[in-house]
Amino acid sequence: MLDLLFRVFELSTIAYLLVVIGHYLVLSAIAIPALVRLRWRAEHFHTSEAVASASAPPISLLVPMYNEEPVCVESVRALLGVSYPSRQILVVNDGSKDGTVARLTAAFEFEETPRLPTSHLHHATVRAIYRSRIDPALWLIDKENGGKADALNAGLAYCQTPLFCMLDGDSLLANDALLRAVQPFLQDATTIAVGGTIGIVNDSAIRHGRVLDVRMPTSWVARFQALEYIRAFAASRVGWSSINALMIISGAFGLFRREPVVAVGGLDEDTVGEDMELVMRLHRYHRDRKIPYRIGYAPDAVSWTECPESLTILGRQRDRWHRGLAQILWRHRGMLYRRRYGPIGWLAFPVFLFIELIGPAYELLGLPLMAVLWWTGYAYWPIALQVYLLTLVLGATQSLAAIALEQLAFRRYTRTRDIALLMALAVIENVGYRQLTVFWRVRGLVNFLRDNQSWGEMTRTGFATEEASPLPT
Amino acid sequence: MMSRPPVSARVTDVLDVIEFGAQTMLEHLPQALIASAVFSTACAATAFGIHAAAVRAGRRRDARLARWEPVLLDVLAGDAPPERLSDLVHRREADDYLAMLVRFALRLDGSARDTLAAAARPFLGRGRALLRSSIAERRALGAHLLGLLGHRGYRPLLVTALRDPSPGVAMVAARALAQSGDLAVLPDLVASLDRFVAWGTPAVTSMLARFGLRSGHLLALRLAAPDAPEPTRVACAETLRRLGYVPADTLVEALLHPAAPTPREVRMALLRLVAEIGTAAHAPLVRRHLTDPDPVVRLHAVTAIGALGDPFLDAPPLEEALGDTDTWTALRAAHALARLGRRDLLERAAAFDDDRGRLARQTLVPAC
Repeated sequence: MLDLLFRVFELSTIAYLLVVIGHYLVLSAIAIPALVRLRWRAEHFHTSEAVASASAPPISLLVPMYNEEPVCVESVRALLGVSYPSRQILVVNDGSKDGTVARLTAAFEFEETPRLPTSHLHHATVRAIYRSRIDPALWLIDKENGGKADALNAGLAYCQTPLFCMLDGDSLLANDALLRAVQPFLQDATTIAVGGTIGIVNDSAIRHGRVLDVRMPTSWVARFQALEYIRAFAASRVGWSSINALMIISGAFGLFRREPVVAVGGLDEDTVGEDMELVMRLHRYHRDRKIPYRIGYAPDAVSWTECPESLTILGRQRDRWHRGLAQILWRHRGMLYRRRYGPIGWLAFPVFLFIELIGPAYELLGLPLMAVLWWTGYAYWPIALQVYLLTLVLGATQSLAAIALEQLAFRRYTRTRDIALLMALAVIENVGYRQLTVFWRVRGLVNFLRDNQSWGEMTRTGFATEEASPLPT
Repeated sequence: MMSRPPVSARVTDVLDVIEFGAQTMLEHLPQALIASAVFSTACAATAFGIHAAAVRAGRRRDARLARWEPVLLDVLAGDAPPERLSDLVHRREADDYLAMLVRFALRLDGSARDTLAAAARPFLGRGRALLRSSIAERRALGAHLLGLLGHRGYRPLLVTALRDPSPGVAMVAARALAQSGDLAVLPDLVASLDRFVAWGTPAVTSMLARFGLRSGHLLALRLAAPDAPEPTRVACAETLRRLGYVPADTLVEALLHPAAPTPREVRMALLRLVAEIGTAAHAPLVRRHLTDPDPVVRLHAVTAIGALGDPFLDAPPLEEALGDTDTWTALRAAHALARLGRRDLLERAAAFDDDRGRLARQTLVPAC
């Protein structure tokens, strides 16, 4: 019996590896032509030409803030400096308990100004609306606390432009991010949403809200996340976008057409993954009604963000993300294997369900099962060791392929030392860090099954703005 | 005809393939391990290789720029002929050289641009070669180079590129032709406008407007053509609006006539156009649209009345429009009243604590 169990375990482990690594490498292979085309396209795309053009549609930047006192002013200043011909900035204070509003008011001279809503999305009560005397395109919507989705819905309800951009309160948009993110809308009028790339900014050189020099973080926790983000954005999202099966646009940087999002009722306040849930709902809405649409990804449009440097906070974040994933897949389970939903239904959804959602549970079960088999003497160590080594090697391959793609198309990390560090992380993360993330994800799944909706407290430390500092040797 | 196998059968097939793959790998674990390690090493080597190549290319580029830029500045200042610069460039350095000239060309105009074009001339064969590439992005780059740095002899190539299978390439060629301002290419450009529908009217309008008022007659003809695609006619109307082409007013009168079979989007574009170029004599035409069942038509009519209307004759319908079911129309009505100088009506509405009141108060706040 145990013999059979070990055999099944061996076979299923290999099968799982094949499927996980296989799907990732296939996505990477699909991403290669798109990334090469991106590099070539960059040769004739010049932001100065785009800025001078009057063709870019106006954009509203929706910036929800909750207890962002340490970073709020710097974040808004950075947004004011982003190059774009016509934009409004709507900062939505979601009932902060700290001095966010006071600090913003002092810095930007807000005064109360009436503003009519343009749609009737549901959101918590708006206490007052302010406009800056320094920059009339900068507004502050002060409302009762209702969560991030609620705050975004409030911003959307007052949005007066055809496009809006969803941001996090601590996002640092690259200067040309909007110009690059809007290009898919200009090239294809059916585009309704475009996701951008999120980059890790911990320990990078920042001045006046501009990332001057991208560096690898100094903390190991942040370093591993830098690698994870490269895997997610350099390969995975480009690949999914290439076959029009993109299921996620990060809430930290997404550009949307206002009308369709209002038509589907805005963001859902009942999930913790409101960004992904919105994208799924947009897919369903348009496919159910056979409306031509496109949801794309602009890999060269970047928003920088601070990632957690504490394992506790990182754990909460991953728990929340996985809970959100479970909620969303459950809510939209009607899309699974349905031809009507195209590659999302028959490819992307199953991948997210079996590999992203359930896969970590399988990985976590593997460890105690191995312990049982060892205890009972049924583990064939030469085979088990080879399987384990195979796991390590294939896991590293996934990351190394992503690093190669990142260098091919973006080259955000330009120091040889940083490349070498990333490669070392590709191996090291499989011994400890990966297992931690698996544990957190399984915990998220368990919490979903227990119906736990909390975010937990996420602390902000603020960006370390440089006055003058030597670059690391 | 064979029917599709059921989902369960297909899932079973996939599982069978996975099981076969896993079984095979299990039987050949050492070989699988070695193959994976080799592949992994290849990925790492590729990443390093790309990085090293990029670093080398960057250093080469910096060295070339250090050599060329001082001479380029002399050439732009008129202290040296363009040949002094192009003689410094080897054939294999053409890409970096042209990229440098493009960066300058985007920031300069007039005679400076001509100087850059002269400096680029020996290497523009690269642009022609790129236009023949099988890859759309390379063809777009070729069109961009020839458009920015090429002389008028290259325009036929760009006109041909308007019919490129890739809309992106066609659009780059169209922009390049528009930047030339050469009216001789305008008929070809206007004939290809329906290819650029996906780009949206603002992008197309921005491009056409570069031809200036001289293009007005041709654009008006296209606007009047009932067989022209609707987006093309809208783009022509928007361009005429941007140019402020007053001679189009008689055409607008004819097309806005109630009996004219003008499509909806064109009608709205005409309302926007008449707001820009019309006079009070056109107001009766616009008034008929204030009660249109389509809220977007009402919106544009309200805006146009704000530009052309009479402060007393048109005040009542605009006050009525403050309560329009469409928020945007109501907002425009408020702006229209302000524009006609009827702030007294807005102040009266602002006294009430309802939607009209909030709208009026929002409109009365002065812009910074």
